[in-house]
Amino acid sequence: MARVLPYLGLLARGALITLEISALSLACSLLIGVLVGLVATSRAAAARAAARVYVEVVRSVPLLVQIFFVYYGLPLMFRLNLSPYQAATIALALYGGAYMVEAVRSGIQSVGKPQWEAARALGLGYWRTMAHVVAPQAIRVTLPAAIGIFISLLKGSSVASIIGFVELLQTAINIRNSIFSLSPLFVAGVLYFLMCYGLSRFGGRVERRFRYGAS
Amino acid sequence: MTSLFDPGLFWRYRSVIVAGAATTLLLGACSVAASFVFGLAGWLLKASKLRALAWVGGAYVEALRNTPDLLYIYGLYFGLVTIGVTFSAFTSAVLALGIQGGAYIAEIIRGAFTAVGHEQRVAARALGLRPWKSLAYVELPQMLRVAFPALGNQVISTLLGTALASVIAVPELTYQSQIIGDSTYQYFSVFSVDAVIYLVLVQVLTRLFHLIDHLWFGPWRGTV
Amino acid sequence: MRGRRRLASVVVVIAVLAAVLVAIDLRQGPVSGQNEEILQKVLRTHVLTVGTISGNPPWSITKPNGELDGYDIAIAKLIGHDLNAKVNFVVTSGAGRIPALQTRKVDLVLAELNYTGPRSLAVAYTQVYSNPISQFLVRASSPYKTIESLNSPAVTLGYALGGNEAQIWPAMLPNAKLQAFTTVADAEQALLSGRVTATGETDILNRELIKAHPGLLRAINPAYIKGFVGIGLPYGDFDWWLWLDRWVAYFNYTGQNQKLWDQYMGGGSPLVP
Repeated sequence: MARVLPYLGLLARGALITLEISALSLACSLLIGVLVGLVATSRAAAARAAARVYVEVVRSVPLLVQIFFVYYGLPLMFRLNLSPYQAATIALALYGGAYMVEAVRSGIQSVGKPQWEAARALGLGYWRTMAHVVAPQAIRVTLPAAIGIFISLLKGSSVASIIGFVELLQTAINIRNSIFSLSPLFVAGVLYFLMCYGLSRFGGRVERRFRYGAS
Repeated sequence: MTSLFDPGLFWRYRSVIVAGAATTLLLGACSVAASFVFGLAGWLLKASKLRALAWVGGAYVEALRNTPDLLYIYGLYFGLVTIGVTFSAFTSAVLALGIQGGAYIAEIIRGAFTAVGHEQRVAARALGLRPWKSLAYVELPQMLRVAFPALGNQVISTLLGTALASVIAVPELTYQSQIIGDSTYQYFSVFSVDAVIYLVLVQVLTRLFHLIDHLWFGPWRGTV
Repeated sequence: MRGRRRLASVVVVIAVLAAVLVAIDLRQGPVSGQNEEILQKVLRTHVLTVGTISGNPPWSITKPNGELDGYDIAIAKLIGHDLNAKVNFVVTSGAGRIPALQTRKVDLVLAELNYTGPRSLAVAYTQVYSNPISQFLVRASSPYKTIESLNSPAVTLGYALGGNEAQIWPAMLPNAKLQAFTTVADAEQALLSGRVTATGETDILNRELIKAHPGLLRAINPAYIKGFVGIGLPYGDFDWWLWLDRWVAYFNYTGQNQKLWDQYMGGGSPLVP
């Protein structure tokens, strides 16, 4: 157990990399989620169907396969050359985005029709209603869900290690290969736990505040 | 020199792809079974009256929900070797996916149990049913009904998790796809088909679960 | 009626997506047959884009400060010097070397790229600049002492995806089973923990491994194959291939190859007869 001590700094750095890529992917997921979420609540049936296809596909295919597709397949399609970091971020963003669409949709739908009608009575158009009336209230449902998605992305980032992106899990594996010991994996597990559990507690607190906040 | 999509590829490698899909299903079935075993054990531990056992159950659930699958797949296969335990690749994958799924299933069972409510147990007792009978005839069917959609989702989640077993060389679908890609370099085709097969499997399972839910549990919905 | 309309719109969306994909594919066509020729492009822009891998000592490694170094890297820099171009390295995984050339995102690949039949259909090669021998590596305690003894159903051979093992080994040892791992390190660990019977690597790497795990590993002689490492380049550009191939011939002929080999490999010869 003690042999892992000199490597704790490396593991901490790995955890930071995990956090960084998850946060970046979360931001992109949010963007995708909002855009596609708006499409998913639109009145055009084809648009709604497209959104639904995207969500269903992402949720029916393993994350690893999605990452492989983005890293090995997309370069052939678009003549890009993606580094493992870029490919992983894109794949995680698309993955989180699909769940974010659900979160955004529930958020928007949690604002009842009476609000929309009242807004129209006050002369607010679609976009102003969205921005000033719906969004502030939708956040109360979407934000806790977004925190849950962040946790999933933190765990999902470990899958990026397979295409060569060095984050917490890969760091732990590399250390384990140098010192023949279980401890690096154990420490990595603890670090993942601290990050995810901490976030889920934070999410719980956010949810409770929203529930007892202003209606 | 090579175009994007080469359909002839799949005919040539059809036996490899089919073998991979079969292994995926086998691995999925074993992992789901394992996750139910671990889930049941986890729930019983967590619901136990003994504080020590309840703490162990709670720790199991929280630890597994907040750590990645891949950590356990690597840990059981490559990690335990350092303390002398050598599991085969298939066993490591089944155990890893089993304990992961088990944590979620324990929570699903717990939710279903509380949903069924105390009154049911009291009423059953009042009708003269002994604890075991009450459990089997009154509580379990209702718990199953409440829990079924969530359990179905978890089964699919575990099935999708089997793809991770490819990193420890379990010859399931994603592993075979990597092998084909390695020798043909047709990565786009290979991973497209890989994705489509999972898509089809998941959609079929989802529809199947909906059907079972509707047929078996539907008529009783709304009665309790 | 509404359900049917929803199904119809889903079908329409999938059809549109498929049409878009087909259109992209047709627009690309075969990925070779490009407009400007690579040699002209490099001479004009003074930038040479080289694909390589990392973590493959002493061919190419990443130094702690992030820079690349190694035998292949040094060769790339020499080529850049002769073309009066700055070298821009693109690091890929082992399996990503070929797609990088297919999409012409790199001008050439210097990454211990061995010639294999299937690869030669995807990318072009220069002549050989190095042919390191590869040996099988087994646990010191295992009973296997010859290559022929490995040709048995009880034997499992481990390798890392992206190499040429899957193409060479089945022909050489048809009865043995193969197991693919994501990285060389994983295959190594599988060997050490007894999951696979043997791995196969260049004698240089095997020497490093035996040194790193004293007493645990043993190499089987003779070597099972001599490498055929050339510079990889995209198909469809004859002038580029001609220039590079001549460059490699000159590189070998003038002894520059031997000098670099001595510097990075610490002895022996890059081209063994």
